[in-house]
Amino acid sequence: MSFKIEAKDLNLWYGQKHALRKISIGILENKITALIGPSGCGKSTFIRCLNRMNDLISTVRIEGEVLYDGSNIYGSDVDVVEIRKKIGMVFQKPNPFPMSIYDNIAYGPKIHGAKNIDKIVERSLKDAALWEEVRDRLDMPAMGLSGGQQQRLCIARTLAMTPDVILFDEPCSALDPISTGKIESLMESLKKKYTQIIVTHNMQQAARISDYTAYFLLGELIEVGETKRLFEMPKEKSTEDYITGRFG
Amino acid sequence: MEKGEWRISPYREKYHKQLDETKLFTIDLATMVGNAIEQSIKSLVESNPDLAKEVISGDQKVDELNQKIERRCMELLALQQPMAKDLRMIIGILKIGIDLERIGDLAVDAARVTIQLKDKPQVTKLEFIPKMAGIAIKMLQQAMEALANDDADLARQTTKWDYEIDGLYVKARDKLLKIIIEKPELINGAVTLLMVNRHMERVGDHICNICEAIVYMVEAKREHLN
Repeated sequence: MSFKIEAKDLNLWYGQKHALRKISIGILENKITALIGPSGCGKSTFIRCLNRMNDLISTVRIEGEVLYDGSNIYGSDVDVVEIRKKIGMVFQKPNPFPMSIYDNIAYGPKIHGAKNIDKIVERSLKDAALWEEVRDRLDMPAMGLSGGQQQRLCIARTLAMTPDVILFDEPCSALDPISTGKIESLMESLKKKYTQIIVTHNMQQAARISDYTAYFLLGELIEVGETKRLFEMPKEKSTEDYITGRFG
Repeated sequence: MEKGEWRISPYREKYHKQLDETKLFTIDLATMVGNAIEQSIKSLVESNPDLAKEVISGDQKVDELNQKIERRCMELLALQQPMAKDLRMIIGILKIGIDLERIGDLAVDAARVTIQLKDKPQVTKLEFIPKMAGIAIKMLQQAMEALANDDADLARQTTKWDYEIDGLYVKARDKLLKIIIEKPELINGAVTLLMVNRHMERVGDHICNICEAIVYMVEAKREHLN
């Protein structure tokens, strides 16, 4: 089994605040890895390190390595845009661009000079399980879609860039159970082609959809392992206290 | 947010109380079926049909408590989505409930034998069956101590007593077979007692199952202890 992404002794500071402490974890290819933990534990900070989104925050200082296919993405010669193309991200709140459904998908590929944009749009929407719902109204504003559809549009927009890895930061927290179910089944179908990492506050969701789960607390990675093992017999008491709601 | 700042929600606290309560209900259920075994064998030894009838009518309460435990477990599963040790506990409690309810049924069957053998010639002075029942009751008490204290080792130790029950079972069986051969006129009573003998042996097996469930609840290990 090869690691698609591997963090090695990753530390991160927001100014003086030490937000991630010596995180070492390997993310397996074509698997879904869930990151869980209470608010402020560092899971979103960590996921943002994986495609250098934290570079956009001026007070952030990072030490350690994040290897993507064996190469450190924090190396001096790395093209950050290329990294973000290969490691896409979907956020908590659906954030379509204020343009048509078609243009939302076409935007990235056009910027990168891609040809056959129509095909890319169709393929991306099909892969995101949205094509059948929007094929006859591609020129309609994306903002007119429902929340769940908007989130799948954002996933399609990410897929249009042909990434290797997709990072999901609480992608279903603003969605109803039916839309959540659609995103979850979409993630299952995307496993064939993509490595996926999801931050979620919903432990049932982590248990349902992920192959591996990592539990963070106070900036530390407390435990990581196969999801079915971690939710049935966690090794660490802290993990057990969190997943059984005994935290306090 | 620093460690210690988190507070458990009142709903979650209630859930944990309900979990603990479910365990206590299970211990109550074990006490009831332990008493049922004791009384049913006593009724047989003393040839006391009134006591046997009490055991038979008391089984309804065993069934009711078992159903209450099942309903509680279903409710907790549906509403609280338990994980890890909580999930193991609920699964374990459900399994233990099945075995306890079965032990209760075996006690009732033994009590029915008391009524059946009333006014019939005595087959033999019961020696081994009451001993088996005594060991089974001790095992059950110890298993409940293991459950109350999350003590997997005590649960494992408890199953060792089952060898004694099995040994007594063989002795009682051989004795009853001898009676059947030597005194064919007692065959009906002896065959009925063979069944009670078998029931007591099964009680030991059910308690071993209970101990296996306790080990799973505490250590998440699936061990075959019988």
